[in-house]
This record gives sequence, structure tokens and C-alpha cells, in this order.
Amino acid sequence: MNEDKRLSVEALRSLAQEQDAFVAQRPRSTDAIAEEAMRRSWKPSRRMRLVPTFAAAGVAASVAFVVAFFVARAGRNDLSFEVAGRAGQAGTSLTAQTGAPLPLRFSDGSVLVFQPGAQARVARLSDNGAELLLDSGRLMADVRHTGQARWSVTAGPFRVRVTGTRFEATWSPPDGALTVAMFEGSVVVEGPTLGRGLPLRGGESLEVGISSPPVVTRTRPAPTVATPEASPPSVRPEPPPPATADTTVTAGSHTQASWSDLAGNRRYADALVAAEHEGFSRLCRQLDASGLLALGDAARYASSSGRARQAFEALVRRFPRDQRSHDALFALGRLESEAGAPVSAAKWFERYLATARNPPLAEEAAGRLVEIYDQEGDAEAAVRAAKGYLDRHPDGPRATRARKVLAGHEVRR
Amino acid sequence: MRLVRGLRDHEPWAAAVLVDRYIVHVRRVLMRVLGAGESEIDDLVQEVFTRALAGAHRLSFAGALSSWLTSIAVFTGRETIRRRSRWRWLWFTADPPERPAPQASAEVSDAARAVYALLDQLPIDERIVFALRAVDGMDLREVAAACKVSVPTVRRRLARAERRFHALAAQCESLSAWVRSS
Repeated sequence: MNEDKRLSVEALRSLAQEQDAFVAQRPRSTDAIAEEAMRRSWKPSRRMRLVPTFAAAGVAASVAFVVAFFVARAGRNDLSFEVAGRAGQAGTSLTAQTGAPLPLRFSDGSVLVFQPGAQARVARLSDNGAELLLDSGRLMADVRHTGQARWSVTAGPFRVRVTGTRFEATWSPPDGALTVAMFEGSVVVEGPTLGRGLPLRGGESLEVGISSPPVVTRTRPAPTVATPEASPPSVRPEPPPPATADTTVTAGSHTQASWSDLAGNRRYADALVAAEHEGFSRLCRQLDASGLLALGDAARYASSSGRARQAFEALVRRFPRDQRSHDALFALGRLESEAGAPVSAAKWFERYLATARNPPLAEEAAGRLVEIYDQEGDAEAAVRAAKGYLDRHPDGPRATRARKVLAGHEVRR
Repeated sequence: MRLVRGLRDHEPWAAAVLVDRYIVHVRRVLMRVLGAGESEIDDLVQEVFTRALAGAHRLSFAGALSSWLTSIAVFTGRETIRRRSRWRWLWFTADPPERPAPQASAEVSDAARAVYALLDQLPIDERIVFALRAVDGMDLREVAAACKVSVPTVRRRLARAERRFHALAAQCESLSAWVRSS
């Protein structure tokens, strides 16, 4: 029995090794987990507390909604459209040939004109709007404002929500760049770098990329572009005049709160938009150390690693002796590590450890150096990092890894 | 201490450091309690850190962070086991097959499934103590801290769990063979 028990203990410990192999994988970003945990626990939502109370009512309402939806759907009249005088069909791919724009006239009076070379589809029609997919190129839209119009233009990961307006959207898939120029009305643009959506109004233009922050340019109102009444869609609309910028500022021109207030409320995406509006580069030149650290953190949590790097580097450059510049050094290491640049990350972590005698995140930095050098196959640096780690943190969470590195080195010798 | 202060002051950097520093530890504890191939593991990790931040104001010193997170992970794992038990009772069915652990041999994964299938038959408190002690190798004081009970209570639970586990394992042919081959 004792022998069996000893064996089973060994067997059970081998399960632990199997589990550890699984644990070592990190399927999600730790920042995403931290951000979600903060959102859920440090800012308690009243709505969450009300959920149990109204759960039964919610179920009943859902049933009613589904019934109402199908009843309403049965009796509705979806919009229709014509392409160059012929009935168009949802789902069909449309291409504007070189040299001639392709107009689409909808039954509610709205007109879309695809500029030469543009490719698009009308994905879906409803009784008060349509969903368009702009595969590439430029689209000019004049959507009839009915009070209930619901149109959208999807371009890559971005979506322009429209209620009634005149605007132009250009999507360049190779660059991942979207440009929206507003002539009248308003739209909301949604996308990966736009937080909860960026509202645009007449006279504003937006340039945004998949990984670059949004930039809004305020321009003088454009002259009237072709409307259905004034100019039939078969007539090529005049392109808008070049934007004459009054102020080339930044996104979030409608945001009232300052970036620091928004960051303080953990609305990082909004904070970044507001910071862009205030002038991100100017902030990097003018903020004090504390502000720069907060700005970098806000950008990092808003998933804008480029802006975060800019703020942290400004902090390190302008306030090298400030305690917060040490934090920025570590943050820069993390950013490089997350960006898949371990060698650059190691430089920042080395600098972090060298700058202060016993910085608060010394264990993390030293441990990451062990991991990076070991993964990169730099045996000499890995051994040096492992020794350094064990000298300072013999019982640290990465001590096992450090000992393995040293043991592996001994075996090789 | 700075980290604890940061957590108490709801500093975002402190939350990021806490997750970064302890995510492996939390995942490991959850895996021990629930078993390898746990398909909900990421959601549970999220839950543990959410609870941790919600209770951060009660933290007093940095040395307690690891055991504090362990106890939250154990508590979260215990809730998950209870939820599964209720589910089975309500629907008279087993859970869907779990995701196999990558990089593990088929033999070990089968053994893992078999071990945790046996542990499913133990009372929750005994199962958790057994998993932390026998699989993870925690010492009795660590197990007691994680389960928030005394060391003598851990000893009693462990003794009962071992008796039950070995009795069940003896009836499980594949597990017996694996134990012998280990």
C-alpha cells in the first residue's frame, strides 16, 4: 500500500507538470485582464445590481420583442435602389470603372456615388436604410434625413454610422487607412482605435488607421455637392474643395472633459482622443513627470502603443532623475515585449535595473530578463540574468526558471 | 508595499503589475483545483483578479499577496465545482468534453482526466485539499491558508480524501496501470 501510495504521489506530481505546461501559455494579454478587472470591480455598475431584480421582466420583454420584430418585419417595405438606371440587388459586388463614377439611387431619395475604381456592395437593405461595405476606394454619400434613417458604411474594421448627412468616405485596404470628410449633418465612426465611437460633424474630416490614432481636421464648410434634386446622380458630382484647415487639431473635438479627467475615470480610449485633441506631442513637451506617466498609461490602456511609447520616452528624456521615469523605463520594456521585440525590451529592463538601486518592479524586470535571454538563446546573458535574479530574489516567482537556466548551463559545460 | 498601496488607491499600474506578476500563479491554482484542460480557465482567471481588485482595500502588506490570491482562486474554483454539480443534478448529464492540454502526451492527458474524474466523486472540501497537497505539493500550512481553515482540519480532510481517492483509484483499471507505470 505504501509503495502504491508513493507511486501515486509521483504520478500526481507528473500531472502538475502537465498542467504547468498549459499554464505557461498566456492566451490573453495581462493588460486586458487588468483592464477588465478594474472596469468590473473598481467602478461598480448599478446596472449589474439591477439585473437579478429585472431578470424575469427581461425574459418576458425579450419574448415580446421577438414577436414584435417578426410582426413588424412581415409588414415592412425595404428600400430599393437603382444602379445606373437598373434595379440593384443587395449582395451584388459593384465596381466603378475607371473614368466614370457609379451612382446608386435609393427609393428614399438617398444617393451614393462610388468614385472611379471604387469597389463596394450593398450588403443589406432595410425599410429605413442600408448597410454598405466599401471594399476599397472612395464613396460620396447623400443620405436623406428622415429622422429614422439608419445607414452604415463599413470599411475594413471601421464603421460609419449615418442618420442623414452628406459625406465622403475613402478606404485604402493596403494602408488600413480610412478618411471621412463631412459636408453636412453628423456621423459616428467606430473602429479599433476610436474607443466608443468618434462623432463627426459638418466641416470636419477624419483620418484614421488600424493602428494609428485618429486625427480630425476642421475645415470650412464645403460647397453643396450634388444632391438628388439639384443634380441627378448620373452627373458626376464635383469633388469637395481641398480642405482649408482652420486648425489642424486632433480627434475628439466634441469631448468636453480633459484627457486627465477621463484617464482618472479609467475612460482611456476617450482620454486618448481628448489628448489628441489637446495635441499629444505638445502634451509630451509640456506635461510634468506625473502627467507624462498618466498620459503614457492612458495610451497604453487604450491600446495605442505608439503614443504610449512617445509619452514614456518623453518622460525618460525630460525627467531622467524623477522616480516616475523609472516606472516609464519599465513600461517601455513591457511595450517592446508586447510588441514582440524582446531584444529592445531587454535594453529597457536592463536600464530600469541599472538606474535605481532597488526599484519597486525589480523582480519583474530581472525575471523578464531571464526569460527573454533564455528564449532568445543568448546563454551568456541568460546565465548572467539568472544569477542576478537569484542573488536578489532567491524565493521569487521566477526563481525556478532562473535555476533551470543555470542548471542547463552547467549540463552544457 | 508600493504595490499594495497602489492597489488600495485603485492605481491602474498596480492592477497591471498584480495581474502580470501573479497570472501564472492564479492559473496554476485553478488548474490544480479544477483539472487540466479546463475550458473556462481564462474566464475564471478574470474572475479571480476582478475579486482581488474588489477586495484590495482590505490588503495590508505585500507578503500576503500570493496567499491572498491563492485563497481567492481556491474560492473561485470551489464555486465552479459547485456550479457544475448543480448543473449535473439538474440535467443528469456530464459536462461537455474539455479541451485537452497542449504539449501533453495522450497517456498523461487520459490519466489527468481519470484523476479529476475521481476527484469529482470526492466531497468538495476534501477534493480541494487533496489537489493542493497531492498534485501541487503545497505544505499543510499553505493549504490551510488557501482554504482558510486550520492545519488540523486540513490533516483530517486530507486523510479522508486520500482514503477515498486510493479506494476509487484501485477500481479504475487505466489509472492503476498509469500509477504503476509511473
